[in-house]
Amino acid sequence: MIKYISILLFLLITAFTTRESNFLYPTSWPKPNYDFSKNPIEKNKVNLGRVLFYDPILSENNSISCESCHSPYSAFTHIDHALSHGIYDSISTRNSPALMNLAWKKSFMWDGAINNLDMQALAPITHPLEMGSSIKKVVIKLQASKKYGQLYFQAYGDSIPTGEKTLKAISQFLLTLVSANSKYDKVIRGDEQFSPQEKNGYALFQKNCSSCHKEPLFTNDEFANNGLPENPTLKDKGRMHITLDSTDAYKFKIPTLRNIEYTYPYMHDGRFKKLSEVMNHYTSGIIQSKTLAPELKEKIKLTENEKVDLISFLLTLSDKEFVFNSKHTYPIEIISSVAKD
Amino acid sequence: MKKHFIILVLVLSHFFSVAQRVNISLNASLDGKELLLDRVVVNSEKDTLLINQLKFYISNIQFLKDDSIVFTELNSYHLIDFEMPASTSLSIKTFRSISYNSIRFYLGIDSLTNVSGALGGELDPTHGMYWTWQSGYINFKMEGQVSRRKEPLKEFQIHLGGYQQPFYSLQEVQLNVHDENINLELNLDPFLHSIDFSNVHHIMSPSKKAVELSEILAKNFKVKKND
Ligand code: HEC
Ligand code: HEC
Repeated sequence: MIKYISILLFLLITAFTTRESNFLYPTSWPKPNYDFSKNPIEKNKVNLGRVLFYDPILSENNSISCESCHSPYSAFTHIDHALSHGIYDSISTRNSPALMNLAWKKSFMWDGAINNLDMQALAPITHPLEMGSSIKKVVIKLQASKKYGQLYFQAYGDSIPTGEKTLKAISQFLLTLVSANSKYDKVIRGDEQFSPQEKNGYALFQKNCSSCHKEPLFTNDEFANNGLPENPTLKDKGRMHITLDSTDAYKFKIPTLRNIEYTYPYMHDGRFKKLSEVMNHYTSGIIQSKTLAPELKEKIKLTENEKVDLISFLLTLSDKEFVFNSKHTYPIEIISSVAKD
Repeated sequence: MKKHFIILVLVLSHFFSVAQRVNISLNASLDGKELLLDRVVVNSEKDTLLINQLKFYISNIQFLKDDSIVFTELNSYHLIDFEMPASTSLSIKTFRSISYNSIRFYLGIDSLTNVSGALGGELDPTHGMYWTWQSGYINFKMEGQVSRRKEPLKEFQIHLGGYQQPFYSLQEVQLNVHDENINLELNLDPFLHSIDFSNVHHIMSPSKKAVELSEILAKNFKVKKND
């Protein structure tokens, strides 16, 4: 009898763990920060989130979607636009970051304004310069849609959209955007080898950059002032906007460097178009100030050849499989399987 | 035998007794009179006020007897919205009859709930009580028009919240109560008097001032005698 009970228990437990482990990532990585117990990954919820991500229904005049600023082909950033464009062609004040490995982040946005991935979508939906709507209006539009009635039913067993369900579904899709298969990852797994140039670049990276852009996520998810001169028109003080603490002035979220090849322009205001400009910033552009990160107070010295080597290492962080993953692109197969509006 | 029977009846009645409820009603007062939305009020200091929105969260309701907790409502989040009269009276299911002489609740939403991602029901962000450009619940929201001493009328928006120190604005309120039906009144006058409406018309993010104003609100709930 006890034997049966323990088998039953075992089955129950494994049933739950497989449910949780629908979220896959390399075993050598740290544990994600997102609380999956509150929103366990399920295929139909991911599908719903993906449809929402690509649907301009989320904006006031049905003209822009999340994808407008976060394109899958540029690792979900807004390629070529320093400052992201929103409705009525107004320009937001910051460069849209690439979206990947979001499950590991403790806070979101360049200044950490958002405390949970679920709440992220509220910001662009409501921002007058971005999508200019409100979650209430969006939910009312979704409730009137046959297509979404079906998709919410498949995801939640209940066809009525709410704010909570909508936000959680968007999170589910965003959480699946895991990039872990670059050349760097293959080298770490022992499946491939760096060229001598990349290898030298890797050593330079570990010496000068990895305290902030920490492996394997290439960010430690902290805030730092990396010595950029203040943008004279935006006067963006970064983290200080949130904490109102002057010791946080000019500190910004340390971004991941994964897929950096695809995510130009660079920095919170998109001021640099090329990685070579970023190299020049770190070697000769750093502005000394009270809040400058301690590790950057002393000049980083790199020869021109070393800069090229460092860039060739950064290019090993490109994950083509991620950027061209058909599970991340416009969900034509899902949309064609449900009712039309 | 008879004794056992009585015990049995007592035990059974304990389990089957009809759900007990405590009714709480809330209203707000402005210049000594009950607040009505969308009405122009000129107060004793010659300020003209027109309030068209008043919403706040009451959470974690507890009943106490001589300072020990006799009942804590589970999942206790209530959005009081003066535009929705039904939301201003709460009926708290206690499942058994309880004896209490004070009530305790939070004005606002606690820090842990604030970092728990998307939530539903009263906490669904569609209620307009969640900040969008910066995470966090709005604990208290008042909007309207104001003119201080004959200046022209101006729109104002006061959104109080903040779930992180040093701007954690959640407040605890504890009041002695006597009746089963509890009538709470929030006196808005001290709160409105502490805002410099000649210069300030928008308070919409966590700050020291937001904490101060939240403290003032919390001190100005009182229990009205039933009549
Ligand atoms: C008009 C352009 C625009 C639109 C539309 C847009 N975003 Fe963004 N997104 C941005 C910008 C700009 C930032 C960074 C803003 C900041 O840091 O202040 C950002 C940040 C983010 C982040 C945080 C990433 C990080 O690493 O911190 C996520 C997640 C995100 N957006 C998801 C979405 C989703 C989901 C949608 C659709 C509901 C969306 N975005 C719509 C421009 C946009
Ligand atoms: C003290 C921490 C720190 C160190 C050390 C550091 N960075 Fe950064 N890095 C940052 C921060 C913070 C940003 C974002 C700054 C901003 O936009 O205001 C950033 C941005 C970048 C970006 C732009 C990323 C994007 O998506 O826009 C690149 C590329 C980059 N760093 C490369 C490097 C390299 C290469 C090194 C070593 C030479 C390095 N960093 C060292 C903190 C650091």
